[in-house]
Amino acid sequence: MKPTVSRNPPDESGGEGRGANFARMENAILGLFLGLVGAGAIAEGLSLPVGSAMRMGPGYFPILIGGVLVVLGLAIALLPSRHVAAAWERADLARGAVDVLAVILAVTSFGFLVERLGLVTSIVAAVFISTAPIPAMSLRERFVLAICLAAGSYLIFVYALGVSMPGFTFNW
Amino acid sequence: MLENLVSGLAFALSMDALIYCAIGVTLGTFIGMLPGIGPMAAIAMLVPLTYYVDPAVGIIMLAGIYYGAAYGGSTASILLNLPGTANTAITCLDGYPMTQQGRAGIALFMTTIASFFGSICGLVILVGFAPSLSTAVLAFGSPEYFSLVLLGLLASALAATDYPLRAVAMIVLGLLLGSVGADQNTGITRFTFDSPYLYDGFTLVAFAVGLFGIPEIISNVRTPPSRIGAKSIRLSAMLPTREDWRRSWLPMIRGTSIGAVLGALPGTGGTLATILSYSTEKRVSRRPEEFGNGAIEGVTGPESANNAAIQTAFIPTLTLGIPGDAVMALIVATLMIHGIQPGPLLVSQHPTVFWGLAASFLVGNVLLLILNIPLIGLWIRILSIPYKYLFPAIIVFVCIGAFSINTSPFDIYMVSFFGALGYGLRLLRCPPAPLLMGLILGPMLEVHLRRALQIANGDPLVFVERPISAAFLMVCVALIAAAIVRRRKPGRTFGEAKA
Repeated sequence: MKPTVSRNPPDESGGEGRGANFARMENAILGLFLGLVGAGAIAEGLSLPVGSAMRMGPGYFPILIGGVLVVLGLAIALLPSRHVAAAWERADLARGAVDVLAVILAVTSFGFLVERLGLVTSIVAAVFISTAPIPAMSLRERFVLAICLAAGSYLIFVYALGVSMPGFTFNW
Repeated sequence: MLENLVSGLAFALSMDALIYCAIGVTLGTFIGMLPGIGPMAAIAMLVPLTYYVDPAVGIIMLAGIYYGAAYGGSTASILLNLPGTANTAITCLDGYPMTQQGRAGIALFMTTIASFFGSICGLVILVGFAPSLSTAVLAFGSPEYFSLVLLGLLASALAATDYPLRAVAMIVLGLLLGSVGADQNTGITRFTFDSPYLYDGFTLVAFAVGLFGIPEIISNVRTPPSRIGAKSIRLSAMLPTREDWRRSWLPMIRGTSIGAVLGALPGTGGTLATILSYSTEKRVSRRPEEFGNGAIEGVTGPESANNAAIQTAFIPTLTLGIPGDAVMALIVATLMIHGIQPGPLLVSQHPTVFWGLAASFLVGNVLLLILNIPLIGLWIRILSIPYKYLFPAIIVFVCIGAFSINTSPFDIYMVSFFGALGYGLRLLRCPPAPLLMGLILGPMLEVHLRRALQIANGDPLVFVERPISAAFLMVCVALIAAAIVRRRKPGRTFGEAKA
């Protein structure tokens, strides 16, 4: 919803050349990604019955859309770009990567553990993994937060709403 | 119509509806005030909750989050200079200067009044127009629907974006993701990689939460959005002067008219309405120099515009089944999950949903009036919860919500996947909303394309031979032309150097 990406503002003092290079790099990455997805869609569509315009088979729409996507990907990669991108600083990238990893791993670990060890253990794991990038948080703080969340979630979702999730289990 | 409205009101005042409406608007206000998580993510998180209640009650709650967030969002704009939602960004321009001048209480009070006024006028228009519009669009065939869906997609993506090409690419990617799963006609599976989990396509909630919620959390882990300090606001400091009232009533009426019209058009919505209202007020004002320095007109005009637009946005959503923005798309999808098809027949076939929802807007807006004026101090205190406690909680709720849809960890993995994808796309400055719109409207687009061509014996000219469809397509072409012209205008900093 909001255009807030935690990166440095466009680096205008560093000259436009540098920002333009980053912008070109971003465009190339995005264009390549879209082109590959579009090509994949065309390949998948061709492997299905395609049919004709009068009698569209399941492959028709994916081929059509995939083709449009390839064209758009090319346009993004090749058309001159108007914006100056923020420089990709190494330190920012490293910090960003840690944050991405922490959040994504927290979610994934919850999914992995919830049916194996139960709700409480998964919540404790998710809290500890997701708060890992914040050094200012004490072990006790994390632990209390995890326990409060586990108790609250159990009461709301399992007890009150009847979501079928074990509180504790061992099902490796 | 009056008796429909009365029975709707009776439904909206029933215990269940009232409780869920209150939950919706309260949560919406909270989410709106937090500049770290938008109404989109909040609604997506709560869609699973609607499985446990009557669909009409569930939709009342989701809608409550949406308009509640509009109220809360303006509070964040005024007190923090940080828009809680995109639609309230304009409010920062004059709302925050008012806070700096010690007039925060008055700004909050007038915003709430303006929002309430805009909402109620929008609601009247919704109730007045939706049923008759439903009858008019009954004549629409597949060619008309195809062109209208295309128009809705393009308009919502191109309305207020700096990157039109990326926005269009996101629609197309969304359409493609929407075609994952069993083909509607033949049942042949597409892009499922032989996984039974993907037979019904991507789980909408996992997709939406991943795309909107996770990237927000990731960007805020280390740099928490600033919060309201220990400021407290007394009720007595909130009462506006006679001068404030005198300067506000005309902007409120103008803003409401702008918002009501733009909201009802497919694909434009609140953000554009607030921008237009602000520039109108600045133009007609005898003191344009005060704008940006705490002019009350700059707060009340756009706020009524935004809230009026939110209410009238339900007109195309409910009567055509064509949502104007991503939040509406999610509401359409939720209705469909419950087996209710939004479209011209909704008002007659599911009167409780339509009239109950309309009446709940009245109830919800009154609740918001109470939440935002006498209880504002309470909110300020709640908002001082540090983000480091808040975001792990959001992650846990997201996971439980995703799990509960099919009681399957697969949906949680999907949240991870789309979270990473969404974050990557966000770094590359791709807007996520058109992606979701494409995913939700993709199947509809395909069905109508297929049907229209089948009836026309494969002749694509059918879309321009039918006048209504041709008119929609002409607007599409105009939108694309406008986007190209905008791209060629100044602001091209180094395009020439490269060529």
